[in-house]
Amino acid sequence: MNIQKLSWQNLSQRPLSTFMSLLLLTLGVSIISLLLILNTQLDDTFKKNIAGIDLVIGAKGSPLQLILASVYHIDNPTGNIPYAEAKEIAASPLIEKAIPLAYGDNYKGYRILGTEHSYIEHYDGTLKKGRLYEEKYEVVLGATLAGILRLKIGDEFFGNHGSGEEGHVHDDQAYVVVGVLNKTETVLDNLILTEISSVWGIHDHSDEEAQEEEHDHEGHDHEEGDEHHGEEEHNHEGHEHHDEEHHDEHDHEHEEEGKEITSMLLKWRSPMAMMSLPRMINQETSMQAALPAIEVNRLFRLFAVGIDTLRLIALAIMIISGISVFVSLYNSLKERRYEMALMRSMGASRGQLLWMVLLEGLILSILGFVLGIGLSRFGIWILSQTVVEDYHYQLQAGVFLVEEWYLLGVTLLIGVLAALIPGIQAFNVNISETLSDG
Amino acid sequence: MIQSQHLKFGYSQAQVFEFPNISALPEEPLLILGESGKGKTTLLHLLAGLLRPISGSIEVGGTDMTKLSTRELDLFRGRHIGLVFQQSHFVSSLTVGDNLRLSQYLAGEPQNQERIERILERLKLGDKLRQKTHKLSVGEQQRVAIARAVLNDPDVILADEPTSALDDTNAAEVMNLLEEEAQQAKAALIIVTHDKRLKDRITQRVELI
Repeated sequence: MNIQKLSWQNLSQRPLSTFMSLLLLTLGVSIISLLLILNTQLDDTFKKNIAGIDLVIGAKGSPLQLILASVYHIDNPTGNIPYAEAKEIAASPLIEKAIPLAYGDNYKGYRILGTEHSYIEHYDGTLKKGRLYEEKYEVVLGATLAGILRLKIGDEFFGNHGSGEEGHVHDDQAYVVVGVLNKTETVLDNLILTEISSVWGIHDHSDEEAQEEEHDHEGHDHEEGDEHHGEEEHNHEGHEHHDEEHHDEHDHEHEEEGKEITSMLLKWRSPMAMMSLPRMINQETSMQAALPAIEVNRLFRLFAVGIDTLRLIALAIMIISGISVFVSLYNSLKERRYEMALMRSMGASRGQLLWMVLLEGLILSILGFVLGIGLSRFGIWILSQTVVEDYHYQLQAGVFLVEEWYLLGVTLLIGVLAALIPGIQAFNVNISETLSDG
Repeated sequence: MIQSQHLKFGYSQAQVFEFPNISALPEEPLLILGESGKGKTTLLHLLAGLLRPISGSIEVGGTDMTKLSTRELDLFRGRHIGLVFQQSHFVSSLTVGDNLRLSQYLAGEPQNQERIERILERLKLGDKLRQKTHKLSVGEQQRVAIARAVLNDPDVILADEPTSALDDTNAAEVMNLLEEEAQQAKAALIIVTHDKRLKDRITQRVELI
């Protein structure tokens, strides 16, 4: 028998009010912890992927959509832009680095992205196995995809047209896996990377078939395939203009001429470029320039309203749980006044009684914290399943944030504060008077 | 052995009690009698160290309780004084056995399960060890209270109206047990009461006027 056991017994003696206090504490802690984790992980992911990209140019449309598509790969592209025009801007002395991106097909919902090796370097991607792509239709897999898609080096697969899983299959030209990347915790992990020319090639090839051989493959006839969405239409318009050049496929210079890409990621030499370049692009070309930092901030401001509201609700729940602990202890103490006096008569010190009551508050808050953290991890895990499915994003459920140590502190503080007044009453109980009243 | 001298106590300036000197030895139970409002319970609480007198001294086994600090007094009470009240109260969240263990723990004594079981057996409560106290009858509760009072081998057992709430049979049983247990523990027994039934049993008396 000791004070800890006594506190525990006292709590289990009144299961309903203990349950109520615990429920509220658990809810408050889990909501706050959930928000903390989501906030940090989203923040991390968004910031990490944006690093080093100052400007994105792409087809006109929503700048946010352009950023979400080109930087995060979670939205459809706004359309296509002429490669030549984009290269002109990339050649500007204000630009330090330019990475072209061309969306073509997907494989089982994962995007096949045509780009240069500099894209992999940009995200510090390194090879785990195999080599980088060198030829058309060679692909390198992001770290998480190798497992999910069950592909290994040497395997071949056919892409689905567009970004939806249900597009038609380009079954005439297979991609070959030549390499797998190490994990980078960036968008790189969830992409299939290839030469830009593969993206062009797949579609040119289809057009060639359709026109030159006059062989009306139902799925391959892009002119009549009106189930395709607008974004794809762009692609094909582009190809049509340059049918004559298909014969010259091996000439690199020629190949790029008149081709289209989806977007281009730019890093400028000095921030001065920010003053002039975006406006110039937006006004004088058919393309638009979007600043990832600004668009992401805008997106976060949209989130912020919801997150702030939830935070306030969680705070209110925490306060109510504190009050609930207080009321529960206060009421039980009114009934237990005689017990307190009795314990004093049996040799208990005032400090022991104070500690007993404080401990009841502390046990509640520690249990509430542990259960709350457990619940939030469970929530993250559930959420992670859907996020991975919908956005190919991973949420880590195993991390314990620094902020959660503060949350522990606050929770314990609530427990102690709620127990303080009842505790002081126990400390000051008048033994003789209470026993005589008994 | 307990001895008090020149005890004075006041709830306020206007109402000051002066108590006769009390002295009790083991095997000589002492009855303190008096009408309501004469300060019977106050005297008992003074002797138990639950109240501090204005002046005077209380010696238990050679220690003057009035000279002890609050914490020392708490522990001294737990170790050397056994208390039985008119209505027995327990820590309701604990079982009979745990209530007794708590008494050992709070007095700073080692927790001795064997001793607890032996005493409960002696008081015919052997099967109540794991019961919650509120499931017991009034007579049983009073017996557990006696067990608790003698558990730490006190020098003095102080009982406040231990029989007033009981019928004749139970009252006689409780008195028998109190006297037996006091003898076993070699403790002085002081009973505060207005219960006339006890006058016939105990010859040593102090009357508060």
